[in-house]
Amino acid sequence: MSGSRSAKARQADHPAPRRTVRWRLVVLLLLAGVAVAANAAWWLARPQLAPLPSIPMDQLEPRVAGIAAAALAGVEQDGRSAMAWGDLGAVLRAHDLGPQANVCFRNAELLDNDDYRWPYYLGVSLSVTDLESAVECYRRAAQRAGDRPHVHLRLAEALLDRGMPAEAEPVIERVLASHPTDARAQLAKARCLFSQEKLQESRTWAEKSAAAAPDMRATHLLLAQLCRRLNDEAGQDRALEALASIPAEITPWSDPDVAALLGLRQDRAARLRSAAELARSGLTASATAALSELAQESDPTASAALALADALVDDRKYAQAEKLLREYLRDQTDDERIRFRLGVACFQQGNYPQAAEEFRRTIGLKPDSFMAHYNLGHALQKCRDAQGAKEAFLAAVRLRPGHGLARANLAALWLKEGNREEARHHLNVAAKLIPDDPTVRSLIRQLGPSTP
Amino acid sequence: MTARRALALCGIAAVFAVAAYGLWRYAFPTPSASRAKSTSVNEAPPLFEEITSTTGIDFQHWCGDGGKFYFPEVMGSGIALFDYDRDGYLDLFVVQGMPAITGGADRSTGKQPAKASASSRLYRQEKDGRFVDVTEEAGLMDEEPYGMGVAVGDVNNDGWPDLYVTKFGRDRLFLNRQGRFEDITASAGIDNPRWGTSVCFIDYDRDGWLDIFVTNYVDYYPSQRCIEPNGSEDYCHPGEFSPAPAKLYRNVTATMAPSGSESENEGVPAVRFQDVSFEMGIDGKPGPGLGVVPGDFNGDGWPDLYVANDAAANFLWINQQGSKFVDEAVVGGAACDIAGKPQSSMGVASGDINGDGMNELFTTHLDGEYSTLYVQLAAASFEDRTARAGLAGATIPFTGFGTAFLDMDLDGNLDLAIANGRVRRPDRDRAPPADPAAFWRAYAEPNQLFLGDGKGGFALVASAQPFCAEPHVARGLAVGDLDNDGDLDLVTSEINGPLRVFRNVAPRAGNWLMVAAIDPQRGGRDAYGAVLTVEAGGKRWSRDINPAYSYLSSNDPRAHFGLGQVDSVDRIIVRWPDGSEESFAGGPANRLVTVRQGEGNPP
Repeated sequence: MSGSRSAKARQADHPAPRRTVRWRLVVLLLLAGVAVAANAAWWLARPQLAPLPSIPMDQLEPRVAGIAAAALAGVEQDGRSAMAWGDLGAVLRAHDLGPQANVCFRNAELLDNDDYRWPYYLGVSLSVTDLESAVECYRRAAQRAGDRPHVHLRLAEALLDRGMPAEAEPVIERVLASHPTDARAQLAKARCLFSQEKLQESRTWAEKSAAAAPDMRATHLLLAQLCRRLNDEAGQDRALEALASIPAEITPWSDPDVAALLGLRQDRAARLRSAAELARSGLTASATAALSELAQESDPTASAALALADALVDDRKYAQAEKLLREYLRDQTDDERIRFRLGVACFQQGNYPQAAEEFRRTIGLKPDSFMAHYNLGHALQKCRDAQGAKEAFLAAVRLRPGHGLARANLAALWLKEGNREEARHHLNVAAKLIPDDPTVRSLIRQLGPSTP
Repeated sequence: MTARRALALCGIAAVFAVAAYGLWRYAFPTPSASRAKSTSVNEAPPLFEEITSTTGIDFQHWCGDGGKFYFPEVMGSGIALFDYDRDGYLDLFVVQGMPAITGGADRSTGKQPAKASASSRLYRQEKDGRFVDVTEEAGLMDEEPYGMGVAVGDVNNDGWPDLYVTKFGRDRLFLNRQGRFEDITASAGIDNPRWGTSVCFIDYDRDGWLDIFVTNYVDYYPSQRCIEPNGSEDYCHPGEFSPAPAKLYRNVTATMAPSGSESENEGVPAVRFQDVSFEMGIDGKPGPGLGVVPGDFNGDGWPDLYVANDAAANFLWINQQGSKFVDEAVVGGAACDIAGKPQSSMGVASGDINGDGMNELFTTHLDGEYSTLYVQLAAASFEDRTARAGLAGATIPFTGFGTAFLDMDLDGNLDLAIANGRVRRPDRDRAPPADPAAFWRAYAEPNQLFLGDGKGGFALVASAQPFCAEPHVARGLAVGDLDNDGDLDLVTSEINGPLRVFRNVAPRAGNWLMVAAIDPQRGGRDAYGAVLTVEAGGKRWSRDINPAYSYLSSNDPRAHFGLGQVDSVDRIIVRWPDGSEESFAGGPANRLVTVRQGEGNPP
């Protein structure tokens, strides 16, 4: 009893310090709890990154493997860097490693969800397999893209593709408000109105877009359709004429992000394309140099060698072309593409019998080759084998009845043989197809006035 | 500190933790998961069951498969359902790619697979539903590679259906001489050395003789190999080659063998065709064609053609009353998708899905593109309404080939079937396996079925369906009432796989009518190009007499009508291929009716 009493007395004597200590303890515990909770929260909320995807380095061409390895090293150095993950994704996407690229873009977005590019690239990548998920990505990208019309318009177009014009419309309107002359936005507006059956208004916007970007096939396609629906035959014809004057290849809208991604390509096909661009621009020497470098690399497709042979022929270096092709023929005797080109090189050097032989071999490997039949006809003409030439041109015409020059050559051979009726038949067709061709005009003169 | 207080402190800490976590997630949101797929999925009971093993059909396709990614290997082959012996039961012809007797070698063993069928095969259906291989006795052994598509049509108006087989190589025309076939390719003037794919018979000049339209694919160079940017090799994209022009052969049998003059062979006129591709405007527009469907798309009574092109704008060849064809796909809104992009079209189906009397078009595509539904709004004027129909999201992940509109459950609405299978390996980051079975497994995909609502909408049927459950590398798809029970059955072909027969077991949501339309003046052959309209219970259904649709395949030539709850038909109106119209009396549903030109009443 006395012990208990003395304790109570002590408590009564020193009540304040004990309470203070206790409350300090409580506060400390509380703070510790908050700290633990905050740490736990941070840990829990920390972006959980997907592991590095497996990249088939041994399958990649050396150059591609090189840039992929460099990008991979960036991620390995700093696994929490959004930029490193994004760069790796871009390299992989550019080289058709979509699933691996998607992992990288997702990680990049988790680490930096302010950068519109990662969901944008992910959307572009997913759009070929899963349009719905791609739309979600475009939505996120658009929220962060600021005044970048191509990102907003990609979203709008995807929504239109999904049959959601109501959601697409405000996106397009926002772009048009700040970029009223943007041809892509104008076309998107036209598409939106078209899907709402507002045909006349749609046409107005499509015409604006066509005026601003006359080389876009999609605009003229829409215009042709609109004019048909609006019973405007003249407008329809104008749209069709415009389409006929534009190359058949689709010209993509300007997109700096996708251009940056495609610019990363280092595979053989991309380099071949670059060389072809050089050749088209008249930079033959540069093209030949680039192709020579490519042709020296191991290439199961022989595509670089074939392109180089074409470039050499274009450059009138026939002997060089022949030498190159014969080297390739040593390993690939049944390659009809090499045989055909060899025939051309021989023909251009005046070796007509050899040229005819190569074209015959080409036909043996590829019986439906119009050009081999046609060139064989020319080679046999040079060899003074009129019958053989006629048969070759006839075979060519069977494959391509609408080829004016093949018809004209056939007409000339029939005429030489004295068969004016057959000559007239083929010449009439040739005259319809290529009325201004000098050979055709000359044959018409020889055959007399009854020929149209 | 008591335990209660400690507990309270822990609770406070937990609240803080939760609040902190919430704040964190609010400040740094993670990307939201993709939304649930919006495509509606119909949990239907089984609609088809596979009965291949009970039919006696043992065909095994072989693609040649030499490991060199030879382009024709990945294109598959077609099927024809037709009554070659005129016994009232559909027989079955299936095209072989690389006949095993020809050559070629397996990618792993260097030998031909033992189970591959030696040639294309003709199976005659017995009355008990079993099929018997009659290829040799019917004279259809074909040792020439490389088989692709097939069309059925009576080229000499003797009432016996003939066969046209397309090839990567030279096509072949087989004349049916009362159940035995004869190769008349050369004598008939058929010469198509290009890569032929789908083909159809069409009387484009309305002279009563069936002409032939052959879609050709590309100017393929077999030595060309295609390496992807990721370093892997796969089958080439058609864009690597120049597109090939189609062929149109005019049947000139009547003009070559004038009335009274017959060949010595069994008193039948000698069949002759003339290549009119150039004169008719077809040759001037090459395209990588894979599918074709004929039909009168502008309602002028002359048959037109719709061609599905791979990675290029489709063609809508409008017949200028037999004098020329003009492509109106662009102005008609059926060339490209809604965004103006050409798609990789493979197979094509045509049918009036919304009951407005005009046929819609549906083309199947490569994965990454949706398969497109072109709804016909006015004569030859279409609009891509795929997304609105609920078909976009569900078709994007798959590569579609054979396809057909058919009323699977007899509810009166056209449904949709698609045979799927990849052309690109999904696992291109790995070297392809040497074993052919493992190699092709990577290309396998499940087929798809969609139920139509009769208003232009479709709902995907659950993938557990027997037709859809197992992934295969399907290509050809043929539709026909094999057992004459009033519902339509399906047959699929696969690359390096068996032919599969699926019997319709769908719970019947209504009644049916099957109509054969024949022309007694032309040997009693099917009146290709006739348009049938059934009127019943205040409703109208339209169908074409046309077996040519889907991919590389030929289907039951009879018109099938699901009637829903209607149990009797008021009348059948027929617009014959020559433009004349007749009306035939209706009668009870659930039967096969034959209408003969000249035996009806004015409409």
